[in-house]
Amino acid sequence: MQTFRKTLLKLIVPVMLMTGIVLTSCESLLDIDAENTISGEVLKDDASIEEALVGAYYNLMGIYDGANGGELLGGDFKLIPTLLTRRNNNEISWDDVNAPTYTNFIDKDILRTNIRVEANWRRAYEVLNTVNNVLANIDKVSDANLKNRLEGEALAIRGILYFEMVRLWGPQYMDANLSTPTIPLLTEPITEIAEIKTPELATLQAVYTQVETDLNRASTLLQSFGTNGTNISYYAVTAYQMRVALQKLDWEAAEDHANTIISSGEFALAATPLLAFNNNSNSTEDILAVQQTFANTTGDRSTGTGLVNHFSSLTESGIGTMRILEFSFYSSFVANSPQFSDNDIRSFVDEDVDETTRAQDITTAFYTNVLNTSTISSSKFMSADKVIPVIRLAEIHLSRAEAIFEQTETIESTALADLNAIRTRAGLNALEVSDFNGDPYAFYDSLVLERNREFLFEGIIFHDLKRWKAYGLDVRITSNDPLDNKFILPIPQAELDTWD
Amino acid sequence: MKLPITSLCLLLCLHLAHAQEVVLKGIVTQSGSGGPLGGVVVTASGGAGTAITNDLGQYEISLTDGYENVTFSLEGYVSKTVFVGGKTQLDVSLKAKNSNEDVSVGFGSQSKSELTSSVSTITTDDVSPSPLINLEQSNQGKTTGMFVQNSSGKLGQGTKVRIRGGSSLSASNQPLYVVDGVPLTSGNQSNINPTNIAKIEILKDASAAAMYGSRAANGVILITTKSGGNGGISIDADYQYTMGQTPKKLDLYGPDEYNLQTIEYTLRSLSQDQYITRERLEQWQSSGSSTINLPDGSTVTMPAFYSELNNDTDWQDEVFRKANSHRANLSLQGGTEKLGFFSSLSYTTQEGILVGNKYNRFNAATSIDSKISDRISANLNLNYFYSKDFRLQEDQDLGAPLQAIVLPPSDTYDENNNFQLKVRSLEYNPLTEVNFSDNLGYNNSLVGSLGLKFDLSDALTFDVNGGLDYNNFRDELRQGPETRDGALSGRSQLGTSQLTNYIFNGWFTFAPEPAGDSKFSAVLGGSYQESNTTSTFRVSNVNSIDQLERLSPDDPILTTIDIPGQASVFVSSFGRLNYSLKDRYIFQVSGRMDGSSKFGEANRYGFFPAASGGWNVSNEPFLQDAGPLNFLKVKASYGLVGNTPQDDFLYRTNYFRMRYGQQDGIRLANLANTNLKWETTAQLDLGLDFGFLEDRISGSVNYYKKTTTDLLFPVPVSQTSGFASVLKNVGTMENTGYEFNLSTVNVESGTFSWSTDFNISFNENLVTDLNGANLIVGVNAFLEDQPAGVFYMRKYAGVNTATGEALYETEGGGTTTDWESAPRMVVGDPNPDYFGGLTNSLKFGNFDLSFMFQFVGGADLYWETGEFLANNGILNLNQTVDQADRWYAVGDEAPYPALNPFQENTFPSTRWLQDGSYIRLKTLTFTYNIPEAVTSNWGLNYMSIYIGGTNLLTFTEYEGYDPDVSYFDPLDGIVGQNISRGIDNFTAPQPKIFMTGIKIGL
Repeated sequence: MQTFRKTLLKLIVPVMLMTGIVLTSCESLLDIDAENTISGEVLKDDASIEEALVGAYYNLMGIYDGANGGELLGGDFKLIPTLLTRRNNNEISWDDVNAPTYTNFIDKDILRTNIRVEANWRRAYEVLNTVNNVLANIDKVSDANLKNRLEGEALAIRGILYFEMVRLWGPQYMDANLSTPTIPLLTEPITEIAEIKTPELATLQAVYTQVETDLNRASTLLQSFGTNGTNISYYAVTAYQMRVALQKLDWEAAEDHANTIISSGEFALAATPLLAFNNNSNSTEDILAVQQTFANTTGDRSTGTGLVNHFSSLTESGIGTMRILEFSFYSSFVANSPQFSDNDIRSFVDEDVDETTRAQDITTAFYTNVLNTSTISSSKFMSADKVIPVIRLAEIHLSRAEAIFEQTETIESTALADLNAIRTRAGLNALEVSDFNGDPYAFYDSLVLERNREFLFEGIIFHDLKRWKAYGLDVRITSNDPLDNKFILPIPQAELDTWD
Repeated sequence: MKLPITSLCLLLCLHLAHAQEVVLKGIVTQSGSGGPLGGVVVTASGGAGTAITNDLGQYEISLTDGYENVTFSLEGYVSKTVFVGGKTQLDVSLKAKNSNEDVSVGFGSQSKSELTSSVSTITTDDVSPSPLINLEQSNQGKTTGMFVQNSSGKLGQGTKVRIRGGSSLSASNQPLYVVDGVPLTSGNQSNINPTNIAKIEILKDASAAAMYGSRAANGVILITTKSGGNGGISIDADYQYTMGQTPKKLDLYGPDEYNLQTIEYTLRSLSQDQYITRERLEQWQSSGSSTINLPDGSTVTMPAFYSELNNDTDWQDEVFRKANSHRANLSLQGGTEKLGFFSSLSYTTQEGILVGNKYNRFNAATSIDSKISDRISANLNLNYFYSKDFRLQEDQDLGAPLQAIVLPPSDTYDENNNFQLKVRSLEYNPLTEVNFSDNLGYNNSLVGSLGLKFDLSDALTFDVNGGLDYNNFRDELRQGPETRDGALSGRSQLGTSQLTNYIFNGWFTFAPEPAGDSKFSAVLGGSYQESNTTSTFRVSNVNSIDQLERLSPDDPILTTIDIPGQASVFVSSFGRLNYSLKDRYIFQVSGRMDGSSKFGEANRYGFFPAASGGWNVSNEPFLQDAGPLNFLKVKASYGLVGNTPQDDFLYRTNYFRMRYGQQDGIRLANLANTNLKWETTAQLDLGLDFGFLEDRISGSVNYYKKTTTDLLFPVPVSQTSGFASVLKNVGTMENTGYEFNLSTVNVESGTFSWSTDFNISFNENLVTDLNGANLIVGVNAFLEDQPAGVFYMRKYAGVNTATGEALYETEGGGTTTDWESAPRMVVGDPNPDYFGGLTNSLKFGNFDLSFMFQFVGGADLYWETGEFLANNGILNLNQTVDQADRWYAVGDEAPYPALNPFQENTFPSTRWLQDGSYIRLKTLTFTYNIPEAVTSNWGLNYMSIYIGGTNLLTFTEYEGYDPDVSYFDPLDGIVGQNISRGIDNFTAPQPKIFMTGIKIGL
């Protein structure tokens, strides 16, 4: 046994030595990193905080995030309200084979399990978390000028997104609804798993207050940056302040904001309505727009996703799931029909198209749906590498006209000029006060009709109908009350399932 | 010219030697390892004499005339009698008896009688000459506890291997593959040339696998490739030709039935339902007229295309083909006492049974063993391979060939017009994709190791080895302007990935001479392993990969996706102690301590110990004369093994790079989880090994229970965090099972022998706790108290006889036509209750016959294809013939609902859930070994020719092409792969293959 022990000892010493070496040097050996990674506490200097903010834009603008990714401003926030406003097989014959996840909206029966609702909900909060993170670290930006801009844009994103969310997931802004719980209102970042908690729903009033606070502060911070490239500018913030005021039926504020934009002279209406779309860069009319490039688009052709895929039926760019029924444009039985007149260039249809037609060949507002020739396609969003307008100057003009009218209930010349600016570039004649036979409400009706024509399928009219109804007008979404709860997106089931 | 001359010389020698007394020389080696066997008694018939081999296995014996039988025998080995046939040199190899074979157990080997853990061995004789080039496939049904399931019949596709059930939900369930000591992270085990494999050991229980600690929860598969011999040089060559075809064609509508469906589809789309009956539809169809006269006198005109639907195309014939494949191997083995080498080259070119699918692979391998000095030896193994895979689109994509089976049989296509359908031109013909796109995968890889062994003393050795697992992938996809995705400009995408995984091991083995009755040995060592992966992806609307590669990084038409690299390090120490007393009582303690970079600082280290014991009952004195029983051992083991998440760096916050417009940005990829830790599997194993009648009957019975805790699971969280779920250690899961195998030598006489191997495994899987969470993907789910991946969907309850709508079962057992409101229920289990195989090997003179049946029982399959191909024609796609038996008119009692485009009845339900059990004649080989007398005349050691087949017969009730299927979408990631079980979605079947080949040795 003696020799055995000796041998054992001989054995153990080198092994201990060896494993000892291994274990003591372990800590450093295990601190490995891979190529091309970014990790840990990243938001610590000017460059990284700006990059994080770009990340927020990327998500806010709905750049492609997988087949079931939320598209926010770059897609679903236009498409969902559009489908909710239109009647299936009457105005739009939705292709529910190729785009089944949108069928709920055109059917006006939105399930909590709807994947589009969930995808946009999640991604919106990703954006909010990012900007909350940027704001929490904003003092680490050393360049004072840059700090103002980044803080202003981050606040603007938060204000804009909470506003867009609360008007989709919450009821219309009106006294009866002010204390209604709507959506979670988070202003602090979540940076690790332990910080995730069951959220509380903020009241409608609380969300609007946050929206206005954020936009007001953003407006101050961004004022000196002018049009601020393609990022959110002072004017984009002002435009959203106008939208908020309109939604709140605050006509005076709406008019003020609209005036600020129009009188700045920074923007000009495109020569024709068609020129406001499918541009490589922002048109003179774009106050805020989604920047698409070939490399970063809001959808993906091979998965049949994105605004362009649904709108376009051209072989090179889409599958034309939004099959528009042309007769509805002229039917007086269709609620909110644009009722185009003959020479309105926003109504022209190109019937000479086939599988080889390309976007550049289309010079009309509509064309025959290549894949379903008894329907037509809108040419507003035809190419995946062109910008998608979020707010155009046209909306400012028509909104200002409406705001002025509501304050005076007379036909003011500024308001009439606003209306005519939109009409004349669409090939319609300018109207005179005399055309209304002294009936100011006829002028108002023209304004509403013009919105229906100008913003057709842009997701704007849905929100108009809600505020008009709240104002006491007899308006309908198809045959429904716009304030019906079925026009409020549900909180996703997947979210509710995680609540304690 | 060398060959005939050699044979001539041989003949001459034989002739000269004939009349006088001859001396026979040779070397006896161990079958499998090839090592020399000393002490073998060599006896010549007729009492001519005996000899005993020396340490090098060499012998020399005098014979009367060289035309007698010589018998080689050694304790613990199966004796062999050989007819000398006039030769003067005779090398033989002896096969160890069952109980005495050496089994690799990781950092050493043990004899079977000393083994206390659960290890299955597959030797090379069992592997070839199967035509399957993928290692996993060729071992399907071969051993207990290993369930092998093919994901698809397309070439180069993955194969699922589950050892004693999966033990994870979100981390990998594949076993750890260790090739010549190198734990792979590349998945390249599938590409090792199966004919180069000497032996495969499957470490199934914790005691065996604990040496691989934190990566052993799914079992460990040790692959030993062939190495050099000592003795003369031998050259082996073989060639194989195979022809594959689809095992089955589905019974689909012909043109008439399809056109009838088109009439019904049109009428119902126009809401002209009231006059539809099967009889009328038949009349309208057979009239050939495009105008339908309704009984009320009105007429309906069919759409213009209807009258052109007058073709007859069998789309299955268009996409399936007879697939020709060739494989050639050449290997060289030899060496001296000091230096042994093995070298081989292999080329395989395979066609898939679907058009456009092809796979080429070149393998080269080299192994060198060298005894540098008395105390130092070295070995080197290199396995290189290069493959080019002509791939197809994913099964669910419209461009996948098998999607063609839903196209109208009464339509056809025009080759000169991009294969567009002549009538229904908006339907996409997959042949367009096949003919106008290139979908190529290249794999350029090396697995190699270099080891040194120092004999420090007689009892103590020290081993060091270094290994490399290098893998370079390149995925090219070009879709021409003619294709759907490439429309008008073409589209090209290129993905590359490069993985470098290297390992360094060092360990001491201490095995002193047994002192009296007790025998002791120990292994203690350490290991460092590092794995790095970098990947790139780019895509653009250009029509060639060349052009894509030439685009400058800032070209606006180029999309690149920034893929962060992956890296991981394992730093480990491990040890094993063995003690046996009187060859009867055996104990083993083993364990491994792993440090992993995949976790945060608090959880980096894991300790995975195991203990086992065995009792060789047959060595007890009281069983020495136990009649037929010659071997009996009981054994038990218990231990812990671990599993790590697939992704690295989950413990910390990570970001992606992206671009918005012209600006660079970053986006959060995950939130930090500093508490992330290993999944731990505790495993109990009880086993019994037995042998009767000198191992003529041998086998084993095993019971095991694996309990996995701290399962990594994507726990749903409030999405206000920006995430839908986060990975946490929350769940527990159990696998319980029995394994049984039996090998019998039924007949063994001089010229005829027949042996049988049977194995069957039962496994029951249960997710016992998910902390209240669940995960549902498609029709599969992870639910508490259910097997993982259980089928969870609505129950189909037939057809409403009044409206023709599909019915679904409600909570209370009633029915509803509202699919959405019907509750999902647990309706089936894709995991098999049992599986196994039965192999018979017969030898009659120079003929060998071997055939293997493989079976899987109690596994359900979801035939997702049916949602399109058997949906009563609701989308007017082609259908299986049984769909004609649908509801047509009020009062019809039909198994299938109405063809009503306004009804939504194609949603997933048990309507397409089927029993996927099967028994299959997996392989059949009939070999003729040309008599040695003839081959030696030709200067050959041996020559054999064989014919056979794979998947020749399948007995199943499954309606789809093949029950051996489990499709998953690679985009779903690792969780998707784990949860998506038993899905068949236009998935290619395993081919039925006929083969013939020749093997030559010289």
